[in-house]
Amino acid sequence: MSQQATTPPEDAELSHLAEPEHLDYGTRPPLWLTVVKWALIALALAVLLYVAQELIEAGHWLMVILVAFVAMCILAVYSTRRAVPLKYLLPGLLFALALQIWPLIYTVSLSFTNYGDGHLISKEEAISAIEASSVRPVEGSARFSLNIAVPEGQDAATGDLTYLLTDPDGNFFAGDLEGVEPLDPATVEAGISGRITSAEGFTILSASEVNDRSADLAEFAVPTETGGIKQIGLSEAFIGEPTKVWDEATDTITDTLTGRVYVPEGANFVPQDGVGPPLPQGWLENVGLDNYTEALTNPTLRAGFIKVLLWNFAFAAITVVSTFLLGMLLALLFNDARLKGRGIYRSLLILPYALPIYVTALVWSSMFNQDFGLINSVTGLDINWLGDPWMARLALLITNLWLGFPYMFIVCTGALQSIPGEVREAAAIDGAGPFRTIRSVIMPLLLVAVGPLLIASFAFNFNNFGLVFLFNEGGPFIGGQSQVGSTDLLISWAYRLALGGTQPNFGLASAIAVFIFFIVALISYQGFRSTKALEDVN
Amino acid sequence: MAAIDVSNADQRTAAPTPAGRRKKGGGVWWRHALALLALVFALFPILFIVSSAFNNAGTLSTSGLMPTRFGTDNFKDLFADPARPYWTWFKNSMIISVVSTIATLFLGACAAYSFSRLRWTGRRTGLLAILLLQMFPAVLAFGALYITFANVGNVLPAVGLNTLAGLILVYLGGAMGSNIWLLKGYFDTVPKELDEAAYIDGASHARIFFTITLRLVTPILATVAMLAFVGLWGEFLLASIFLTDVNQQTLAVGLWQTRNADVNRYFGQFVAGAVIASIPVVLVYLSLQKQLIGGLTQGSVK
Amino acid sequence: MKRTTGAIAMAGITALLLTACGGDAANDDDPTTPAGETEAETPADDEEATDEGDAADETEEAAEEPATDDAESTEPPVRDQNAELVIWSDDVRAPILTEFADEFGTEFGITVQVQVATDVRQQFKDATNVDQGPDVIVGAHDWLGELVQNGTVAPIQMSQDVQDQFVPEALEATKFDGQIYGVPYATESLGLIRNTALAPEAPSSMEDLIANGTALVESGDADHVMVTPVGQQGDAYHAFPWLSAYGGGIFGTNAEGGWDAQNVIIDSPESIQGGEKIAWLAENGALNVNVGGTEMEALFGEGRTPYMVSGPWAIANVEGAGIEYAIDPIPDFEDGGTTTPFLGVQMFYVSSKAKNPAIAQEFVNQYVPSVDLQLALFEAGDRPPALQAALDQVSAENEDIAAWAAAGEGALPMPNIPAMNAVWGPLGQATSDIVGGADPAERLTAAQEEVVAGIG
Repeated sequence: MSQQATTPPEDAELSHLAEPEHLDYGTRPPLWLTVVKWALIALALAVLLYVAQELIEAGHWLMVILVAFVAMCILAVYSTRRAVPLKYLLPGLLFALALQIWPLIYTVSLSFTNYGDGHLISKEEAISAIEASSVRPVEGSARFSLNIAVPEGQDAATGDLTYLLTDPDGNFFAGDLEGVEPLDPATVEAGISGRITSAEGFTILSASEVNDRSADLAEFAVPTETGGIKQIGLSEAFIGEPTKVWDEATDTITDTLTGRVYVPEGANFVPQDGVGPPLPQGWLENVGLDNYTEALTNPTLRAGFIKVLLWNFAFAAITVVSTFLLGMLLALLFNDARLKGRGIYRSLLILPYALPIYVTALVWSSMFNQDFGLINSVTGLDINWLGDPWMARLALLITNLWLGFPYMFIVCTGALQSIPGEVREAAAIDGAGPFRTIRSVIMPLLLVAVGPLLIASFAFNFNNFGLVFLFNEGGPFIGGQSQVGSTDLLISWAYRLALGGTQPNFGLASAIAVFIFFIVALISYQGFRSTKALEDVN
Repeated sequence: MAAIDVSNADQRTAAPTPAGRRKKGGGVWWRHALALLALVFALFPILFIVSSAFNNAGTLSTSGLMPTRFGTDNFKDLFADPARPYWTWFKNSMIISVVSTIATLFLGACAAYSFSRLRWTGRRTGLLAILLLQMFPAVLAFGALYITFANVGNVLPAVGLNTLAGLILVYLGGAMGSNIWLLKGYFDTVPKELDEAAYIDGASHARIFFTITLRLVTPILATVAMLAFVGLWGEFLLASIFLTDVNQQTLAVGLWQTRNADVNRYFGQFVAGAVIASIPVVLVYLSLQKQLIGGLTQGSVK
Repeated sequence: MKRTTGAIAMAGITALLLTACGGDAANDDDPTTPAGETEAETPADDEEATDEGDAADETEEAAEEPATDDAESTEPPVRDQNAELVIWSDDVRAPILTEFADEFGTEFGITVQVQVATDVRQQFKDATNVDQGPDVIVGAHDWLGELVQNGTVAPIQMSQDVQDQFVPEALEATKFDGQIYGVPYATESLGLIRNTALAPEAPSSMEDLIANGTALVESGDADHVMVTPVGQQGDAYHAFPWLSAYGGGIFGTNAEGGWDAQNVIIDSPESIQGGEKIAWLAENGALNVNVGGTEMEALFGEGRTPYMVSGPWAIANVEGAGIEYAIDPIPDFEDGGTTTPFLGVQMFYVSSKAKNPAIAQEFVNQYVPSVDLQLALFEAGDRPPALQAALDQVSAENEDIAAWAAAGEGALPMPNIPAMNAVWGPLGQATSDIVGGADPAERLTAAQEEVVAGIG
């Protein structure tokens, strides 16, 4: 998947050929071109080879096979004269597969799990997190000054770890896996704080050396009668003991302070007696179709669904139509050569498109403010734009019209160039007025080129989470609740619902997204069949 | 500013078009009136943004257009703040946007050529699939991309998380998007007789593509380049997930972060940065405008 | 006995897992690394690290002593490419942290990287989940529950001596289920920011504030009695001081003194009494659903209102607007209602999957509780330091900080349990609706139901 691999090698150089008039099509491509082509193929293969090598080192054999397959595809497609369409498609196809289809599949697969906050790690990790978090200093135990050493003569990287400890009374100890031994003060040198700086028979490790032994140190603790001595960083140690202990045989966790027993249930450890909250650390597990069932049966989801769905459709459809009409009319207006200063007009018109949405959505939201916004103060109205459901919807549509029309303007300007001037001339000669010409001549032609983009725009706006979120977070919320906003789209509503609880559930969000996907895809497909765009593909 | 250049460029191309002159010269004024109306709609929110960029108070005043305390402090602070390397972000954004735009354009044009000009089974399905893929709420798939690239980075650090190259790769995944449709639609309008003639003369498909087709579709290439550039320039959701190091971040991420830093504290700098960030988009549009209009004259000649 | 040891050792098992997969040389091209230095100097390094570790010890005892004023560290350290400390911070604190981290790195002969993350909270979670997270993060204390829930932070075994050096509320905020998970460096809370040109005297009570403000509005000197963010969706953080004035709030406490997610008290009579004060403030023009953060700053910056309830973050823009200001605690109500804002605490967390756990713990345990670092971070954020000694020193010199510290006295640490995620939306909307005229009792009862349902 390197960049080189994406360039159809034989083609890359051709664009630098002489002007078309001077081309002699009869001759075969010159030798150097063939050389370049093969060089590029070889380069692509070399890159893939390098990737494969790295993958082998890391031990990802499945990926190696995949890379090899890609390499074979490249070789098969570009080294022969056959499979011409693939020569053009392969690079884009590979990218789309790796970076569009794969993440999609991955996301959908998450909808069968409880993936989300509190359920990101494996059960083993959750158990060790629970135990690690429960380590408390033993009541009344001392703190030690610490240095970490290995016995003299042993290698810093492999030697037996030893804690050189100084207790608050200034006594010196050496602690290892066997336990603590007092050190003779005569054999020890200590700093002002009492920390041992050298001890006979030991080699003190540097910070870097200690760090290199992180893995060993993680498993290292010096046993004492009350608990284990464990380091804190590089220079301090304490006696601690875990207060929650996992029992492998029964798969339960016992809180040694309260005696409460926790059992695994629903990817969390919950109290056996059912009283009190579960332990916070949960784990990731498969939940089958639970998220889909939840999405279909959740009372809040059911209650608000129709209302949100209808608004969602209206929002997407009105946005597409309004931005397209405005964009097209402006494109037509500025397509006329008689209009002086078109360049200035055009480049100013695309400014709404040039500014980031998180600036402009904010400004529009402020302008619609009832008391302080420009819109009310200029028009002398006192409309509660953001507090009234219908006004809020209108405000959102106006904002999105402003944000979206430059896109349509650019697209239409581009597409208009493919409509020959004679068509319009002919219509004018036939006595069609300008409005008629647009409606019956230009629009149908434009729609053929732009139609699919309108559908794409519909899909984009159907899921226009960013705008709704930045503009007013789906508000206003009417009727003393905070779950269904008047301008909520399915996606923003689902997000709030799935991710707004104590344990935001990404799996549920994915499941809802799958449903949304089917709804939009179905509608779009229908809309698509009624456009003529696909006809000439047949 | 830059707009002056444009008007000149525009007059050069516009003046010789005979079709316009033939019609009655009156009726242009209402076009200007409409154009001005559109400009007012397009620009007045932007005036607020510009106004608050020049407001030393660092706040967004939505009730009046004049900055309460006019000054350029926001810009000075923006460029002087070591925690926010504006020009580094600018450079990163440039690299990402330019490289990705060119690559997207190339991949897209190749694919569109295949869809428009070559005959193969599965074209219809392919085109439909491209469109339907856009319907999935992309925000949700970002997590999966993140995890994927974290793993890629373990093997190939050069394209892992927190690298520009990695992010460019991710963006290229979007090359097979709805732009293909726009390109394909335009490719379809180029008369097929041209390639057929060349083909009979013995030209290879590659030569036809690069020397004939691509030259005739410049307007749409310019359009798609523009759309891709703007999209990439402003993209911040993916970029903010991918780029965690301040010196690797793009303008959009950096600005988003400036806005969110410490509630509203850096609002002035944020707005000032956003205003400057919009300039390249306008410049790109201006530089591509010639191609757009070039298409017009070409079309009317035939 | 054996079992205890084993379980203690389990404490680091995640770190163990990670060290195995991580450790790629991300910093190979660090330009500051002298190329030629290698093993030849290792013995010297050994000694040096020990000496300076000692210096760090002294710092703990005599906090005024700068940890890094060590004349002995003249030898350039040998940099071990694997021994890195990676810290993630927001962009405000990063430059200051870099200085201290570099000193720390020099002292221990390791490479330290301070990276700016856009959204530390989210990115830390994401990155740690794919084993590419940092060792230490700097963030707010209310992330704690979420981070514990995901097993991403390690406890801090802070000695009692060090604990006693912190402002008690700040330390309290670092605890989850009785365990300390971070070392605090700054606190923040809401206060009353006053335009001294309009209101030269601090109001004695909320009633007094309303009276003054109303008089100013009537005389035409101001347009608004007071501003604080409400917005159409509400803002539970800024509404909390009123809501809690009579002992109400969000959660009750459990036996250990922590927040109890099972005990939501939004519909308690105390909270409703607070809700009625919100309605009263709204009737008197002090709260307005059309005022959000943006409007608030503009109105105060334009001198159109004498009072603004906000936090230290708002000061930069007030100064930018050229307004003369003073900071006071939010006044109480005359009938005995004590306005209580949330206390936010900024702190250093250590990742449970740190690749360099010993160094990370050393940094957080020995360096962060130093007066120097706390003072430096204060410069960056204009927040009162969390270390008492540093706070005393700053307060003596800086009126604002003294005022913010006073405003934060008695503030309640913002609940750091994951259940808060289910609170912000419903409670915020309820307060906004009350400001808009809804009945406080009804509205808070409805919010209670939504919150309880969200907690599940």
